Amino acid sequence: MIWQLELALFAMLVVPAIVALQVRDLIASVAALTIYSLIVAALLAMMGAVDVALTEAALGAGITGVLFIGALSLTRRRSVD
Amino acid sequence: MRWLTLAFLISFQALFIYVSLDLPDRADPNAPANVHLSPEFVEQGEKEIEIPNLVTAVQADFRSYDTLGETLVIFTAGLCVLLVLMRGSRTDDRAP
Amino acid sequence: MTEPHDSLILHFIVRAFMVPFIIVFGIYVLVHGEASPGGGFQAGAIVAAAFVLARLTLGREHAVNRFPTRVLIWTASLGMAVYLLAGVVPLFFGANFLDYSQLPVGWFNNIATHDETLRARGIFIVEFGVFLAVLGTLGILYDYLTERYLDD
Repeated sequence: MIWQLELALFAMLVVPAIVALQVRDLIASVAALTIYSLIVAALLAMMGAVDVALTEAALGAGITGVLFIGALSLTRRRSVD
Repeated sequence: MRWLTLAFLISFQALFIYVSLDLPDRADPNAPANVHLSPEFVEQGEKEIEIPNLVTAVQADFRSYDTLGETLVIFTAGLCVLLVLMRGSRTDDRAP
Repeated sequence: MTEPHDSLILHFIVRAFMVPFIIVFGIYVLVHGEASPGGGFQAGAIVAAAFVLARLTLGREHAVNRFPTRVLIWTASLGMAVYLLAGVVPLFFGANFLDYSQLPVGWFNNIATHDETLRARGIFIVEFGVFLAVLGTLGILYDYLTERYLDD
């Protein structure tokens, strides 16, 4: 466990979370969520939970983004607030 | 109003950081979560199942009911999407 | 998001490299999940990602002709059936529900290259069921979420 790298990853984790909350375009929000999942997967792999990291990378960064975009295609693309 | 929210969040974050100082270290073998059942799982998994990946052994053998329920939840979600969004008029890839 | 893109390079890369590689990697994660990180859930998600990629780039009609949605429904149901059978079959051999050590798969050690305990064989059977169920369910989710754009 390299605590500098871990701290840098935690600091990077904040950025896509704020972007996903603040941006108006919901597809950009889904892309930010995907980046968030990827950083979480890297963090879990560094903590030694490799199985959970593989699940997070396959589900969070792979399938969930596609399903969100598929659900967005049934509604509007822009956020209203 | 925004500043009030920000001050509330910052104080809450300070509270969380203060509480997290008392948590045990990561992967501490003497932590309260790791002293009750985990040693038995590790020993019996090595001895009885003889597969190298202990996570798979615990997930699919010792905790098999949990995995069954998890798979049933996902399957039920798929069936619900199928029932809600299925169209009866399409014939080429309609559900049999 | 259901009409095909007409870029030749995209078609070639996806059909020749990405989809076969992702499917082979998913099957590796499945069958090697007892010795390295992985398992049925992850493998199902990875192979479902390959199917979704094929549906996104090659066009939905093309990929659906190769692997139609009703096959995915049967796949998910078959996965759940495999898991439940692995639980129910030991009941007829005098063991508890989901007790893999009484599964009648001992003959497999005669034709396999190395011996494993019966519980390891049962773990593989269960992981295979989870793999089929997750693969089918994620495919169903994607197909029915994007279905109504075919004829609008």
